[in-house]
Amino acid sequence: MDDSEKPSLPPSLRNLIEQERRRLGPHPPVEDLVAYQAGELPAEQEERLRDHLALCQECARLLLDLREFPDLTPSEGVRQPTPAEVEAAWEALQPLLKEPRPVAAPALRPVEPLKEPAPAQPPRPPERRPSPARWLTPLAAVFFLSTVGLSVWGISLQREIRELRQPGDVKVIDVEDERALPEHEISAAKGTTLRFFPEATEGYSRYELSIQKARTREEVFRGPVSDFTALLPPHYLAPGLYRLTLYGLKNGQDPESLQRLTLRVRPN
Amino acid sequence: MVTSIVSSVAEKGPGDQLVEQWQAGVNPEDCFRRIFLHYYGPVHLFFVNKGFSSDDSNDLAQETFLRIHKSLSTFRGESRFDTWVYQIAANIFRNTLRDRSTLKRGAQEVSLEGLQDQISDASLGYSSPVWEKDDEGPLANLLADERHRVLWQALGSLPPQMRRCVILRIAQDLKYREIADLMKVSIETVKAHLFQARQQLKGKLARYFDDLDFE
Repeated sequence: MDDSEKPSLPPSLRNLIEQERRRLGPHPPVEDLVAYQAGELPAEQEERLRDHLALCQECARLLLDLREFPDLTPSEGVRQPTPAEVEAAWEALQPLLKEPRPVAAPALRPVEPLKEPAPAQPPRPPERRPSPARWLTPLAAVFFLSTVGLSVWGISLQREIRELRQPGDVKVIDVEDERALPEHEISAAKGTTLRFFPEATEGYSRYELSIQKARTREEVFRGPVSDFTALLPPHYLAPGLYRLTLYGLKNGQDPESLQRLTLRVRPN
Repeated sequence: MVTSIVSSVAEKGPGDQLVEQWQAGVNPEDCFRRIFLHYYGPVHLFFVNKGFSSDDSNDLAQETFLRIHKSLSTFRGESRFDTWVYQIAANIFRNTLRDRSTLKRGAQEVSLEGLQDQISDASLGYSSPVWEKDDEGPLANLLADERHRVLWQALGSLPPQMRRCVILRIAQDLKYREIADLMKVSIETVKAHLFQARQQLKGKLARYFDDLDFE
């Protein structure tokens, strides 16, 4: 082999490694990098991770950053945020925190049928009736309570039937905790049913759901919600992070935020 | 025992003390503000260093602190708080990359066929090396294939740790200190591995490659 034809080793090796990178398996989770750093991985897993690190620039950089954090060195041309910018970022974060100190997640409370909102009815003028006999009042009350009880039972039954009808690949999320900003994760490829249980439902003539992209605040959906249930078909939302807000509307007044949640949509 | 307790206390940073105060309910609002002021710069810098714009980094840092705030009550102090914060930021970074690459893949659906071909080529072994695939004729390509095979064999004959050091040095262009940190060995060990690798590769690759004296 003529010497003049010989390529240089370093670029040849770089090309070889580049090819090998295409065959790399999935990245190890960040938790594994942290465990490796702390020397908490079993020997065999540690060896596999070292092999991955040799080939994977992204994981190698993450691990090097982890060693430096929080004393990271800025890359060339990068400047640190000024105190005024940090303060502005704090001001922007404040309203999103809502609760200054979230408590441990409460246990899911059983569905309370009485909170099932009645469909909004147009107001009716009061009807004049002849004054009833005294004994009619308790009888009417008993009758009224029985009717309400039966209605509630019926609504509860309907809900159970709806749940039973849900196909296996549809996720049902009950949004119940109003104090925190709960985060739920769903798959973009699967359908999702969101059921809201707002505490206050009096006086609202209708309800609307707004879906915003968390980062840009761009509203990708706003529409009426019936029966406090929203159905997201598969692939309706692109993968990403979204803020969902349920609004209650009263005539002539601004919409009031009743419930919010963060929804992370995974690609698969 | 005393030594280990002292060292574990010494390892804790200012963030750990703030979290302890927060968890003890000592002025939690102010505590979280101080946590934010302490870590916002590094978290923001982490994202900027990864190539995100300043605006994107603001958003990602904000998301990081929302998650910190949400999960702070679950922090048990088993690791340093610095590490815990970093872990959250790194996971958000990973998720963002994944989301963006998914969107990108969706947008470039037409080119998937070409990509599949490339992957198939790569999985066949070493029959189509990238760097020599010029229009120099079949003989040149054959030689390139041969070099590729020999190089891979020579690299494979090195002990695992030595091989990793060579790859990190040449292919990732890392410094001795960085390689030592990643492999959790001393700088001297890295230097020794690279020296021995050079000697071994010289013997096996001198016929095929120039510039074997990598440092």
